[in-house]
Amino acid sequence: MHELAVAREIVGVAERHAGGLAVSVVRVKVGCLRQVVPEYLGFYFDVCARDTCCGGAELEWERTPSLLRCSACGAEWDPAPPPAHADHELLVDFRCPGCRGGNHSVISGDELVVESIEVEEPAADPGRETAAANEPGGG
Amino acid sequence: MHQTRVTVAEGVLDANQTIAAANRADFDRAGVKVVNLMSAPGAGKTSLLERALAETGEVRVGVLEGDVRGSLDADRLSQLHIPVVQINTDPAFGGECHLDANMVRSAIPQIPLEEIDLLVIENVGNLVCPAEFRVGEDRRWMISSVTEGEDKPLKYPLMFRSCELVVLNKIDLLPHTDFSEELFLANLEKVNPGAETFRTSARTGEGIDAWRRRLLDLAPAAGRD
Ligand SMILES: Nc1nc2c(ncn2[C@@H]2O[C@H](COP(=O)(O)OP(=O)(O)OP(=O)(O)O)[C@@H](O)[C@H]2O)c(=O)[nH]1
Ligand SMILES: [Mg+2]
Ligand SMILES: [Zn+2]
Repeated sequence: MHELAVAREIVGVAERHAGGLAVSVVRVKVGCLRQVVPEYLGFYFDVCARDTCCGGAELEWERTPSLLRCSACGAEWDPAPPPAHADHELLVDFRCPGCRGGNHSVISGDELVVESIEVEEPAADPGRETAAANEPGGG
Repeated sequence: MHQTRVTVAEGVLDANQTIAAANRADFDRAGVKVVNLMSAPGAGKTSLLERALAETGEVRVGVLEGDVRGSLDADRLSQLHIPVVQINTDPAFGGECHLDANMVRSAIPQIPLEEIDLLVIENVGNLVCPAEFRVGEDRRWMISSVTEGEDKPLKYPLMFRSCELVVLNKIDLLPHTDFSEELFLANLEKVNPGAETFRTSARTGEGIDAWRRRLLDLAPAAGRD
């Protein structure tokens, strides 16, 4: 399962940035051009996080839409809009709808990034940007 | 206890990319060109290699076989008397569905890099995962077969877009199926405009010579002296 391998990498990235502290939240951005299903990712993340500093942490994901820009004429389009209905034809097309050009840059949609993590610190560290400490049930 | 946000902004696959770059550096140093050959299970990777690598002239070719388990494919290719190294993907978690840079890295010591000019990596049969994980290859090629249907480029655009060359295999079956080659090529053109294409049958041998020539031409010229 693809999401399993990706989840394992996410745990690895979070661990390297956690400085040995317990991680409570991991935030990832998953572009629509990636064949990663975030719902599955959450499930595998829980499995992979066990027995690491991410154990019990929540995986928060944000999906970024796919958007290309034509290198020839500057048109912007979504090359793979989600079908409105399950049996609809797949309208995938990476060629420019304006000039049929094949060269483009990706404006959005190929992200697969760990954006930030929340770590649990015993005391304030002035070197870091502190989030409002309003953990539910914390205290 | 209090919560602190730590900015990470790190690509999930960055660690894999770093190892892939190290593999690539090892291959470059040894003057070995590397092709990562991918496809759905059973599209004919091993069969095409058996055909194509049966006569390689002066080019010395080795194969790295990725398989979830067993050494069936490696055994088939060993019959050609070329170096074949087998990697079984992590059996710990039910078998990994692709090769990653680290698995290839751990196999490098077993590959006689000084004795080959070209290394073909047969990836695990899968149209999703291998698209994401680079392993240190120079070229990414894939095989799609007539029995898979024409819609595969539209359903797996990441894979079809990540390869510069696509082989349509099992063309001997065209008369027996309703597969439209024209529609397949049109779908491929939609997701990967300008991709290079070959058509082959590992059964009859049709198209093999042209593909073999393309493959062997990747080897550095020094290998053919
Ligand atoms: N008719 C026909 N059958 C083929 C052709 N190429 C391969 N096959 C058959 O397809 C099946 C799978 O071929 P393999 O070469 O093992 O495919 P593979 O991609 O290496 O498979 P995995 O490594 O298991 O993913 C075998 O039964 C082959 O004989 C072809 O060109 N025509
Ligand atoms: Mg095989
Ligand atoms: Zn355009």
